[in-house]
Amino acid sequence: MTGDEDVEPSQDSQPAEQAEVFGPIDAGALREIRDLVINQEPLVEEASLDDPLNPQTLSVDLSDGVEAASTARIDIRWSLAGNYAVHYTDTQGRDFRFDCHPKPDAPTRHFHPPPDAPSRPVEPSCITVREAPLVTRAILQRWRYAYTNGTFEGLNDAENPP
Amino acid sequence: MSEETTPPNRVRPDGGAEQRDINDVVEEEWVEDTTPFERVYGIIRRTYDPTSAAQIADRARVSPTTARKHLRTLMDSGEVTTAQDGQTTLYRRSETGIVTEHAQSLLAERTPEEIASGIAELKAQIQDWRTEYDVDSPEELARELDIEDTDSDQGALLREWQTTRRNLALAQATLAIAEATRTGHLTGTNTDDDGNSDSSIVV
Repeated sequence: MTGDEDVEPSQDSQPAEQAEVFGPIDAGALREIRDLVINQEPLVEEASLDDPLNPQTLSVDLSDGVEAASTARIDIRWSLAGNYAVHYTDTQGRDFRFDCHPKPDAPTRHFHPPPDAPSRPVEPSCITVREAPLVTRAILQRWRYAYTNGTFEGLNDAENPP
Repeated sequence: MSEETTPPNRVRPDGGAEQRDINDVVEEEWVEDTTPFERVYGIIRRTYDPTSAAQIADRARVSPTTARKHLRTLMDSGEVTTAQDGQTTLYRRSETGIVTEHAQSLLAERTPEEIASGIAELKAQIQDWRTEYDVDSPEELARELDIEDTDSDQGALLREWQTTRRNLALAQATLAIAEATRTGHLTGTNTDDDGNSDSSIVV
């Protein structure tokens, strides 16, 4: 396996019969991502699981948002199969999503662009790493890019300077 | 687990100087911030399908020799289990490892009593779904609905049901560990309690 390259579904970590579903949420992965986010991003006000006993989503509250937004939130889901959905929303009603899961006629790793993160059309995601700590760092890096530059322009461009 | 030992919010001296692919940047950061063992452990903790040491090594950015060494250690401590595929040994996270990790996190956040009442709620939720959709399992629901897009409402329901079922199993295992800890019978530290006292948690 070639690590971070896009691979055929049959080579993916998920069994073939599970290939078309997101799969159950990995509670341990959500806690791992929570701890990393708190450690890495100074603007995190709170990062918490929606329900410790039956977590479906990790919500990260940010004390500032991109450009005119006063606050923002990033909701993260991560499945046992390594599928994920990362959804940014702010007080200005702007949304974008970095996702990795089966989606008909779309790349597995895809980006729902701002301002409203529509279900379609989507773009190929600039995030090609696969492991939870790497994806988490990449997400924070893209958020930082938008926050620092005050723009969503170029958000899904991997080669913007960090 | 102590993953919070890295210094927070470091400013990279070379930040922004040159145009580099973020995927390469985050990989370098990860390798700098962690030891080879931490990376192998981190990868295998999220590996639920049997996977070769070479693949683990590739994903953890270590040599296959290093991966094998750490995987053997983790196997000895019960964190990892193996299967044979011809000449190749395949590794995955053990059930023991999954339950232990989950129980540790959950018992840090909730009392056994709260977990017990939560279990009742999860069971009720699953029963509600069975009744509402007239199916026994999320898989049966998926076959009947022919779910195409995981982004859809139906895809979300499928995910939520499968997640709830798994978290119910983990909560029940956690409660069993809590009960065994309370009685002290596993460690022989509390031989007075025969496990039938009033404070026992009803599962």
